[in-house]
Amino acid sequence: MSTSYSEIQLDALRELANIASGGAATALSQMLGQEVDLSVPLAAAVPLEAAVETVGDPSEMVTGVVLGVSEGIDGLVVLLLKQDSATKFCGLLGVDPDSEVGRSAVGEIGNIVGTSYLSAISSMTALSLSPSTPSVVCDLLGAIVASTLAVTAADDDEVILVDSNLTLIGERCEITFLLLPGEGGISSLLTPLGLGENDG
Amino acid sequence: MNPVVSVRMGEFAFSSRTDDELAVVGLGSCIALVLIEAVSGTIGVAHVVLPTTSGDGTPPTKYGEQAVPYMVKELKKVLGASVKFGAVLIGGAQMFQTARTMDIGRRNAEAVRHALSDAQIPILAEDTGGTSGRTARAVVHGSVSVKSIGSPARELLSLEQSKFERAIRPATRTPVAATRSSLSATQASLPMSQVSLSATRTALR
Repeated sequence: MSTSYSEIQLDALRELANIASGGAATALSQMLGQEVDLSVPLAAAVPLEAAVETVGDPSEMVTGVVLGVSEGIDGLVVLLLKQDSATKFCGLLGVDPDSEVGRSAVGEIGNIVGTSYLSAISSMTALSLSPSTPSVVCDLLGAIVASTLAVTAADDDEVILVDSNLTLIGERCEITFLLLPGEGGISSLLTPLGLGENDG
Repeated sequence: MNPVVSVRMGEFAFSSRTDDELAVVGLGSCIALVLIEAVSGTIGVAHVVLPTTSGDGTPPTKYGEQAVPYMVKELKKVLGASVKFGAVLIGGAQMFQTARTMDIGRRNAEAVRHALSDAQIPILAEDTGGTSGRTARAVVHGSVSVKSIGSPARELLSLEQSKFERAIRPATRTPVAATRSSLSATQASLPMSQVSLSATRTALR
């Protein structure tokens, strides 16, 4: 059941991601007392086998924070931090990145930022989206991304990647956001915007 | 330098040329299913993502249950019908503690084991489960090895002919037809990925 999305629909998803990551950037900025920059998000329909490489180098070590989305839509929000970014965040919060406290601090950043991301989507689409408790993993990017795609892509040969980046201004410190809608998730997001039809 | 073929989600690749390497980088809940043909030492690797499908199951190598018969059929097309395989399984970790992602790794491994048992293919080595990601490498006439974060690469199975033949002795030692004996690294996969595969595909024809 491969589906293709129109450019208008992808644009709408990009705009959704833009506003959502704007909300996340504000939350991150308030938490750390630093200015946060926002990249133009990517929204693309990618064949499953190419999806991991679209996100990044599968062999790179990253910290991943995974939030399940329940109710409004079915899906996952995944935040990825490169190792030096995770270390930098821990430094700003004054905790040891290699400790249990450091890992839970990164999880908490993910939780706050991910929750703001979802609540911005909620207010635009009037869907009630509540995140599950974050799960924090430090591993290969390929292992983290492929394992989350396995859940959300299911039988689809094509996945919609909605990908945006937050950067702390003046620091080489970056968070990548992935919104991975599960089955029916995309149309749940697009319908409130009046773009639910696949041929729309 | 022999090529390294990266087998991505749902893909399948095989080779019988000595020192060709087939790799699956960054396995979480997915499984690298390695089939080794006993006589020619041909290796086939599938990157299995899910246990099974209720749909039409394309590509078949995305699904544990469908991958085994598909790989056997495809490899027999080039190697002949009277061949004997052994298998190695790598991956199937549980990366996250959330309910949504729970158990896919374990169910993937179970589906593959079950399908291998149905096809009467012995599992010669296995490194599955746990909570860490892995990278799997299979080198033709070399070895099958695995590496996890924080630990050194580990050989799971030697494919050097003398050692390997002891591990899996074929019932009938039919030599592989001469014209078929030098397959290049070849990927059979979904139509969407043909761009990256066309170069290696022509070598088979």
